[in-house]
Amino acid sequence: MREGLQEELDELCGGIQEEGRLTAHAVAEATRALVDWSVEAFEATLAAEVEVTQGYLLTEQRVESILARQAPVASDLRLVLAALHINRSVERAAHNAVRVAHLATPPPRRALVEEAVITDALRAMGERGAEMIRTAMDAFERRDANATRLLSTLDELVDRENEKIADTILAIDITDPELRQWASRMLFAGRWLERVGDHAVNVAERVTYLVTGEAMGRPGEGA
Amino acid sequence: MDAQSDSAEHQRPTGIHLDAAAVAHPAVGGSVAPMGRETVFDCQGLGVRYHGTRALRDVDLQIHSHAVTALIGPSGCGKSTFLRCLNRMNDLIPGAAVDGACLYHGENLYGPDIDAIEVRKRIGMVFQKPNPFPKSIYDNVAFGPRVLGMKDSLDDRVEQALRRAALWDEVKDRLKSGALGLSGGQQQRLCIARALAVEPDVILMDEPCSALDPISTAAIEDLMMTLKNDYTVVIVTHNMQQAARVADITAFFSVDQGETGPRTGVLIEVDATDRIFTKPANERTEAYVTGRFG
Repeated sequence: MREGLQEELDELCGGIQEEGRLTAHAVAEATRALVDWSVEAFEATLAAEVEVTQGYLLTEQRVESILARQAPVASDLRLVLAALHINRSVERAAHNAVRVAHLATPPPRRALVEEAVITDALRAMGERGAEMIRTAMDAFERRDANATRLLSTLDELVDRENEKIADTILAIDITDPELRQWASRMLFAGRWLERVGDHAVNVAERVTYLVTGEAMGRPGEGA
Repeated sequence: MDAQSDSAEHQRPTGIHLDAAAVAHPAVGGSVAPMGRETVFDCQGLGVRYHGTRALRDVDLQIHSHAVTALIGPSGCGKSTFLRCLNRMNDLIPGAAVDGACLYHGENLYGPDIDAIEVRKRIGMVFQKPNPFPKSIYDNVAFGPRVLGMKDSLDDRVEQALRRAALWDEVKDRLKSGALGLSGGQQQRLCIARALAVEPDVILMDEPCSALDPISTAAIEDLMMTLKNDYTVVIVTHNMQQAARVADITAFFSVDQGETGPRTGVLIEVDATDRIFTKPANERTEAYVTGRFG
């Protein structure tokens, strides 16, 4: 029954999964561009984000069409609403990847002990962020309402790496303007990678809503 | 995409641990009983048999004042049978027998001292197909009051009923014209006015829009929203979107097919309409409202 609607919902989810795959790739490539100064990785990040943006617009169009023509209710309605939010989170995460890639710049020539600490932390954040996006999309695929807890734990690890970067940079005696510029770029890169983790948690929360019908923060529901 | 920053609503303060347990065990809101509304009907174990064959069984359902309650479900699920229990219309069907309790303001509708005519005066009914009498618009509305001896200020009574049925402005200059000259939607509103003229407490509507075009349907739906301020409204509808649009409470009926026995209507779930259409508790409700039924 309602095979037409089911086909459209499958297509909707398939499109978002592809966006998620590309976004995870963009985050990983952006991290490589940032810490390894790879031009190829920089270009791969931008290319992936262009595709994610196209997928994002197509998904929006599909949601509009399903709402207008199929009047979905109950679990179908929750899927469409969740899809709309997940689409947005994934697209924002890909956009953050591009921001990170644009911040790629070699450090000033003098070797810094701190440089290793910072780039290691950024690499860890990027790898973790890509993994979190993949985990969140997998939860969406499997309709796993419990992924929010795991992703929140991973997000705390990402946050801690980001705090480490900030603490390290603030502890450097920055009088060298070149060093100051590099350090501030790495500070921002940490900020955007930290946001990728947040977007992955947002995706998992929407999966929880999709499965349970309960959304955190609503009046009378979970805090 | 544009370079807009992540909007503030998506910003997540770092270090806050999200409580997944709060999601798994949410506070449940949306009581079925609308706040501050009294119970008009309290049905307990209500069932109906036709010539001994059970058509509906064990319905426990409360209906509250100043709300629209919609009864939905597939054909043969007993929703119209249930509706007809509420004003003893089943009495008029040969071979029909009602069991269980149906309390109206606490009083057993099927008690020995209850006058079925008085019941139908206080609990009016509107049917699927508009059925005006082949008389003038005025006489249609005045019919009930005349029969019941409510003859004082009859003109005012007719005008008030037509106004409440949102028909007055369209017919005030032709009250003596034949009712059958009205459009289908107008005829249905005339039938509602006819029911309102005897000052009922409850209006029952059995698929009141299924014979109407979308514009007339919208007019009747608007009317239901107004009527619930003064009356208790119960509708049977095949149009789930109509239930979603107009009802405060939705009750889903379905059919239990015995292995050898007959098909019997049962009440599956009743809840606030927005819960029925966003997260129904019962899988059968889910299957029906999403169209995966059958």
